[in-house]
Amino acid sequence: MKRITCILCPRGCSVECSPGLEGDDYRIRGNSCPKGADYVLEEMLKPMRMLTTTVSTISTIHPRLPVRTSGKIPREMIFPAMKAIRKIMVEKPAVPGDVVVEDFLELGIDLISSGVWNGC
Amino acid sequence: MNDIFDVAVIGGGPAGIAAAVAASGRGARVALFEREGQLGGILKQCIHDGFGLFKFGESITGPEYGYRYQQMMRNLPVKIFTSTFLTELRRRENGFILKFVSPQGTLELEVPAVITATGCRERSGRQVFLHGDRPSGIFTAGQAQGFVNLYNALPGRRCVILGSGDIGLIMARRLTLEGVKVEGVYEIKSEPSGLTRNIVQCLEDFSIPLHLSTTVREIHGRRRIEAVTVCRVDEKMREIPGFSRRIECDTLILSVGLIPENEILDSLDVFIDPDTHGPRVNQDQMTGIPGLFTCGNAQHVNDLVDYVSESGEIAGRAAAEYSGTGNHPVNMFSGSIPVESTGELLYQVPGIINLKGRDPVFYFRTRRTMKRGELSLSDESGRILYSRRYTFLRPPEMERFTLSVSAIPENTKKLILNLKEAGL
Repeated sequence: MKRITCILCPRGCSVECSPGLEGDDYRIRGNSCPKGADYVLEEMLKPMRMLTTTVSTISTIHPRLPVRTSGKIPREMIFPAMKAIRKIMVEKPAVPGDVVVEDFLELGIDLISSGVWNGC
Repeated sequence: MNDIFDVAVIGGGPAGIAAAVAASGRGARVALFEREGQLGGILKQCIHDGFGLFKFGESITGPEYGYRYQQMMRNLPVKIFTSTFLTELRRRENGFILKFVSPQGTLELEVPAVITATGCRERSGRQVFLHGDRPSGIFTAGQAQGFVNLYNALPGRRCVILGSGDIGLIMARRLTLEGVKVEGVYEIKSEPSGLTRNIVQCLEDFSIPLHLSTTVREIHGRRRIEAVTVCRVDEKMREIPGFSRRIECDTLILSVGLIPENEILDSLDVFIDPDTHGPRVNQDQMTGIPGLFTCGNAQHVNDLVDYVSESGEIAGRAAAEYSGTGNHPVNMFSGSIPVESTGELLYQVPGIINLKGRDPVFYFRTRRTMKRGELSLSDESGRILYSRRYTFLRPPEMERFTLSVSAIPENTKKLILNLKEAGL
């Protein structure tokens, strides 16, 4: 049995999630709404997260460019993603939305710029 | 300065840009002044997401949010001055005189309306009475954020964070992602100060412990910080003897509060609300001085940039109208009444309502967490003009509601806003 805090609204319901009697079935208790049940199930089985960080640029005046994943990635991939990101060096100017790495780590999402760099 | 402007906006962060866009959109000639080399203010370094949920219906990062507003401004004839610092602001008969300094020299400007969007500062260690040595290695959370995200520098290798407000929680995650060991987050109150979402995604995700009712009492280290002593405190935040612990670290991050930055207003004798630490304003974001408007964190510290933009838009629209119509100052104030906060309200804005003005947008915070709350707005006789219920009010989460100004009878002398915990 796991106790998970739902974050969808300020209530912050403390929800219990335990395996049910048959296989994939899960018992969920403590949520105040159905969205909470969906969220907690996902958190239990495969928690997903947006990753926001910065990458190196070749500039000394603006040495970091903010980036983020274009969608959520599995929580357990956060540190492998950071390791891969440390190898990246951006050389061209960028605006929010520009793709830095396509199909990042083959997770079906891109690593995109979230900031502006004019190349200087 | 040969150009003529109707509105001068001081500050090119989210509040100032929203104000400039709104004022210019109303036909005012706008000049925007920013002391840094680039616009965007604090958004440039807030690389995490969660911004824009109300404004754009999406969760985007700080830089992205700033970029979208700058793009809006690009299509408008706003004159932008960067690396330009306001040194003096004085009243004149029909407006204000502003003096600036920049790498190009000095600049002087006379305008009928001014909007200050000067943001806020972080409270420092000096202001929270940390005892002990004065070594290096102590940073405020925003300062550390700037080092990591803009300047490619880590503050240290093993850190303790004091304060569980959102910026402290965000930095706990940020530093951990960049390989810094975050030993723990310490919070003097018995409840965390930040959003639950951040407790989960910044601390629980990384198994970073949160210690409530605990604070840093003393700093140790000669040239560089070597350790801190933390201690348990009671509900009055007094140290409980016998419950202290020494923690080895090379970095202390402080997330102990934000203070609106309004020193430039000192010479103008603007009434500052003691609860918000910013100028008291009416529903048009106008201060007690006709033609002087303020918005964003300079007026009161916000949780959401979406609300900052809203306050900027209100100020910009009102400043454009004020400078355009040549509204006589006296008319703006006749029919203005104060709003008082009572009960469990920590504070509310605006502090004044102009009965001839637009429908006000109210923001308020509760003093303590409550499962069910009842908010009511009444006149001086106790007659209720507006009321509603809330579920789950917490001090870190500011609430917003709007009111029709026509709901307030013409001869009302005072408004009283009250929050109380409702029965179960």
